[in-house]
Amino acid sequence: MKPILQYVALLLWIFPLKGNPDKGNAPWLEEKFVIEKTNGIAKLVGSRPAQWRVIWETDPSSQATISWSTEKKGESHIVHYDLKSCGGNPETCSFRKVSDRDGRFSDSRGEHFHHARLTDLKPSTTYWFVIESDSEHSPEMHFTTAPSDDRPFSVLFGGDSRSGHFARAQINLLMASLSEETEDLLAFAHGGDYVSSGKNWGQWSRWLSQHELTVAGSGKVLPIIPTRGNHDSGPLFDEIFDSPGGKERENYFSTRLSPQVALVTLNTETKAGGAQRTWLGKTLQSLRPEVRWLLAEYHRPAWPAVKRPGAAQEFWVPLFEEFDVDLVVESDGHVIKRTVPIRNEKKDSTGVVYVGEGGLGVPQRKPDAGRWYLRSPGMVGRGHHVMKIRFTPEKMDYEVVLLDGSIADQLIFRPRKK
Amino acid sequence: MNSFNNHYSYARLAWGLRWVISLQCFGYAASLVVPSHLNSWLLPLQGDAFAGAVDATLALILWLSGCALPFLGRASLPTSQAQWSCPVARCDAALLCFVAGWAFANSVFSWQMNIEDEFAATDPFGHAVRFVAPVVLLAFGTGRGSYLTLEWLLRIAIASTFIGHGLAAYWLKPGFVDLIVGTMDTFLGDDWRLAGQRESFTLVMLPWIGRLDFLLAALILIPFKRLRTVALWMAIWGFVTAVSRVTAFGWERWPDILIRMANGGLPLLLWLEWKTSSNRPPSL
Repeated sequence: MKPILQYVALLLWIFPLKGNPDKGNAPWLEEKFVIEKTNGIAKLVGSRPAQWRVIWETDPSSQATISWSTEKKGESHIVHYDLKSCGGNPETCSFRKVSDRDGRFSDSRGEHFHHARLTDLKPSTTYWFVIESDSEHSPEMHFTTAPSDDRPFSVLFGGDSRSGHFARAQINLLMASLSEETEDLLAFAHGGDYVSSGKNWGQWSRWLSQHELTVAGSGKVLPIIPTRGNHDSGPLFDEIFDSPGGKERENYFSTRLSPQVALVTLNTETKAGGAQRTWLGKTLQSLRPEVRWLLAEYHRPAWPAVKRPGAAQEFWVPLFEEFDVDLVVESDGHVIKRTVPIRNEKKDSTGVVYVGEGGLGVPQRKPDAGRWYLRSPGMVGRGHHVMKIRFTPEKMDYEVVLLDGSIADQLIFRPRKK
Repeated sequence: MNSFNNHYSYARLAWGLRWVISLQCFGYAASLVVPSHLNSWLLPLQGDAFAGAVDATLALILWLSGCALPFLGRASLPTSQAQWSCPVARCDAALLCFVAGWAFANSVFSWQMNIEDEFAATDPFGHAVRFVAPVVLLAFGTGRGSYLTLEWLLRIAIASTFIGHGLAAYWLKPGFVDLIVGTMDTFLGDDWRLAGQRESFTLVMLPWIGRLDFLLAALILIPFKRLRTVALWMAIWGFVTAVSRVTAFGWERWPDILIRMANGGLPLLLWLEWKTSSNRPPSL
């Protein structure tokens, strides 16, 4: 018996069950797989729906915007949806919504955007939908609305997908995989810098097409919560994401992810110190007593790992500290970072933790590990990544998932004492 | 003969320019502890190691330039064709070329890396004093260009800087709004409840600041006139706006003041020059 055990041990040593990145579990590490998947992306041809996306803004438990693009203007643009699968046939869906906003993308060759705003949705409910433009329709997909109760759920965060298009496709495929394997993963908050030049339709079109790779094999779509980055200037951002924040504000808004979780999305690419700051103060003041987990996201960091601090440090950080924000997600630096808890420009266990810096495809920089707020127990690193955050009544699990599926960083947050 | 070599205030103006450029070098060098616009451009093309090495090399040269320029100036004064051939004068010229080149390249990369941002498009104009100052000093050193030609080069650079900043103010550049609101917070007290009102006030003020910048730019370009008050006004405003980076965002932004030394420094040098010379420039 003993020689057999030794033989098995030897085999396990030679062929470990775990260890090296397993391309079987992360097939997007193979170039061939990525090319194959990319070739399968729906083409923008005629009135055929393509570049589909679901957008979340303020109340995702009852509202969602389903958006798509067509090469030609077309005449009839409809979303067919239901609480059960329609089997891919739009005619069998119980509900339909004609697009609310259509238009030609700025600086395009005639490609058009379409937004259908679904309202009166039921919370924690999976909606199946098929997009139809002039009798041509998309495959059937589905998304799940945000909960109206305190059940656990997860959200992905990440930023900076403007360059490194192959890595961007790989990260998108990773997100699709995470979406498939994590049933309670509901949405994806993008921290900005989708493309290099925000006024370049060609770059946006490529990003939109590649975004299809985030759709899981089952058809599960991760609704996107968009943030504007410094490379996303111009009207295309609003045309693509249906003017998040509404016309009265400049792309800053709060999203009630559940009765106990709120995400405040800010815009570092406009005036930070004026009306946006007053709005932020009022929003945090009203949200803090109501929610257990209060998060903020914006593009240019207040506590950067590479660059120098943006205006957020001067204008927003005091409010994050006054209203005890639990976690702030930043982008722009092209690294992985997690700060120590910060209050009054010092390490303080009651302070606010800042994470992120962007790795959805962009080449990574070397972080400045010597900055006081990044030293242990903070962390810095580099590598393409996406952050997964799971919210439960007892804790908030934060983890950074690398391209090969390994975990680069993780932390458990406990609710603040009231 | 109307060259700077023969002009009585040659030494003072040259030394003033030299110190302004030297301080500007320190500002640029200190700002390179974080990635430059050039770094952002190089990153996707060459990777982080190469882009970082370029930044580090540039910073080193800028630190050296900032330290060396005042000494090289002392060694090479007064300029003559004979001294131009000496290694010190050549080294001086090489550093001035480098500083001018970096200041110009930085303004272009700032624009190119934010090509979709109309405010960034004003940078090559708004940064004109930064790259024209070394060019003028280089002309001093080589003894090229008449006095009037170089004075007009300075005038045009100052006007360009004011037009560039004036356009950004007129178009309500968000960064300028934050500078004013942040400065108001520093001097009037920080209260987020009042931030919206302060922004509204700033949005009324900025177009007028822009118009004033255009007016000053026009006045400094009036031919056959040396409006000393205008030059002094531009000098004060140039320094005030440079210092606003610190009054709005704190002492960590000190390199921003040094980078903008020429904004107030060049009009100040013109004012000093004009104070002791005729109110009407001699004809070309």
